[in-house]
Amino acid sequence: MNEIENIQPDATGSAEETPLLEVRGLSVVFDTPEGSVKVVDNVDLKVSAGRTLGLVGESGSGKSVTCLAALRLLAERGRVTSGEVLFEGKDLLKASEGEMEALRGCKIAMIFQDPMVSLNPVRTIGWQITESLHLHKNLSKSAAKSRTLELLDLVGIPEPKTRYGEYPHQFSGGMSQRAMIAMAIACEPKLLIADEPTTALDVTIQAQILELLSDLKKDLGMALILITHDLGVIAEAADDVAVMYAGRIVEEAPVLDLFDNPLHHYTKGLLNSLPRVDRKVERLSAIAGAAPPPHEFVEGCRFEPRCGHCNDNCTGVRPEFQQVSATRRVACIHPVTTP
Amino acid sequence: MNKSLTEKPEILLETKDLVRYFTGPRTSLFGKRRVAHAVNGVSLELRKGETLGLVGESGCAKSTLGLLILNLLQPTSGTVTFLGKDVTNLDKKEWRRMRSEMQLVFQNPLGALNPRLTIGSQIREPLDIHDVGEPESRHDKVLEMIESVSLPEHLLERYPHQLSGGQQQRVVIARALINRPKLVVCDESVSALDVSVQAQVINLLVDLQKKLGLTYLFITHDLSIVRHISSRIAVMYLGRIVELADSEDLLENPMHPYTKALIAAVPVPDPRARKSRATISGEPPSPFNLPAGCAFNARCPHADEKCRTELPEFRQTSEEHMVACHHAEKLA
Repeated sequence: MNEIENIQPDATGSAEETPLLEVRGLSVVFDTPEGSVKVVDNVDLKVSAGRTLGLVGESGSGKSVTCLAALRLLAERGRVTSGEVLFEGKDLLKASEGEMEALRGCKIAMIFQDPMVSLNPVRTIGWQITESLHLHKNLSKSAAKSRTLELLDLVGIPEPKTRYGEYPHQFSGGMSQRAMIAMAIACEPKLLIADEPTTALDVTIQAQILELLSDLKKDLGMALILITHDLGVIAEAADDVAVMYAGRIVEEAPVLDLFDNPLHHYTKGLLNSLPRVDRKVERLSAIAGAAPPPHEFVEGCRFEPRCGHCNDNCTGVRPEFQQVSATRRVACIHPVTTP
Repeated sequence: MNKSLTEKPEILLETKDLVRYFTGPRTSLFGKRRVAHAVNGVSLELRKGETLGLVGESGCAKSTLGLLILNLLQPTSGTVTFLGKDVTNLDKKEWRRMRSEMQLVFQNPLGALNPRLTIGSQIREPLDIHDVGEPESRHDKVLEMIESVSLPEHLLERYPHQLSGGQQQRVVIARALINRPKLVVCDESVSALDVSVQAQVINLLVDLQKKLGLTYLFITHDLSIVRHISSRIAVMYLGRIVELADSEDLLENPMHPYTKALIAAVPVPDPRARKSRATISGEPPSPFNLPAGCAFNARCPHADEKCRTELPEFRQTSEEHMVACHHAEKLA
């Protein structure tokens, strides 16, 4: 534990390039009949061009809300109470609605878990993809169509010419997700946010979609934020990982470091509780209890009731981030010690 | 595996050539109805005290098979024998008695619980319905049950929406087990739970199995869970079992190309084990339009003429390993 000390107050040295997207101190409050609840609490994130940031957490940890808030897509009852979202140096939270509209679907695109809900059932797939080309790129009808056919081919939809005129119900789950991806990358975005993009899909299809996303990221030089609850997907696709628990980031690390040597007890517990396909585990070591619902969030460490390593110091005090190395941070007073 | 060499395992339930078709919508106003071949001749046995994992992708009819086994759905043809009796042909009275011997735990606990009844009365309900024991003693049984699923007693007065997802699933399990069934079909029972809670419920199911001598049919799409919980695994593709073996044997030495692709596709929580996981392309064909020959032939990298014309027989390749592939030995 001794070797983990506050080495540097700020590890983002000037040598590192400025990130494409940087979220600083973002807090989101939802107004409910029972009062206001802070579902996202002082979250920092950053992702650079060509990198994949994996945002992992259990349901209700605030990972989707963080990204929706960053794009100013929160529902009526949610509001950002503090923080800034810098995209190419510009604070999105201060941008006008017109500027945001020009940005969304163009420089920043997002895909969701259930493609069937995101697609318009009464329009053809082709129409829906050309729509964003019309809106953002001002392409002529024929140019937009030929670009759409290219895109369908790029995301691996067979027979693009036939599929162009078909409706979403004629597409399978995997094919709809491919169509969603085609739509998202139509304007060659700099940042793609994928919110549980493979959760609704079968594993063989999931493998295809993850491969597609990683190829596209390379080819287009995009930054990718991959939101998921699945540590397997994180291990497969992410470069850097941020672990969220109960509205806060609890640990940040490059993917190898995180799996080799998790520092937060929650991360460690999560990794230990996974059944594995590649080896036999005699008994799963589950984390006792369950994550608190947002209206029971406390100021102190929110993992404390489930943590086997806490003491009196953990109660009531928010665990500040400890900068463990240039690329690693953990929000725990007694982080996991290296063996 | 060793046990089977010395003594024959006791069979709790057996299906023979189980077939179930569903009719779809008409193709046109006066057109014929299309027929979906959901379950296409499944012969399985469930051994007493084992956990048989049934894995497959969505649409392969694994849930339909679960319903057929519980006689909650009538088969088009074939039989289900439970404790030596054909359950598809029981009279009402007998079936009513037998029904409490087999239980089902679904994926979504909130959908399985009545929102207007307290937890206590829902766990007690099966005792009242099947008139088990004296009414006064039933409350004790409920207390005993809620303790064995590790829930605090004060939850008995609560309503389902006041519980977390993991707690709700424990209640469903308690209710399913209160009549001491012999067989429990778990249909994606832990899939909706968060990872940390999922591990708790899996451990609970394992403990209860040991304590009560249960037999599980564990239906899931998740191979990692199945490896952990099952003694044997059956892999299903488009209404047929394509491979069946001891868990370790199946995962370490898969013989069917589909099983291999399925195992390869599961992301492993280890960034050092990164590799190309998309070993097969395409998607399963529609059950409305089954291909000739092997159902997997269009996606299979090893398919030849024989696979496109001739249905592979589900055959035994060793004592405890069965596979439905023409080229299984060549590929192993």
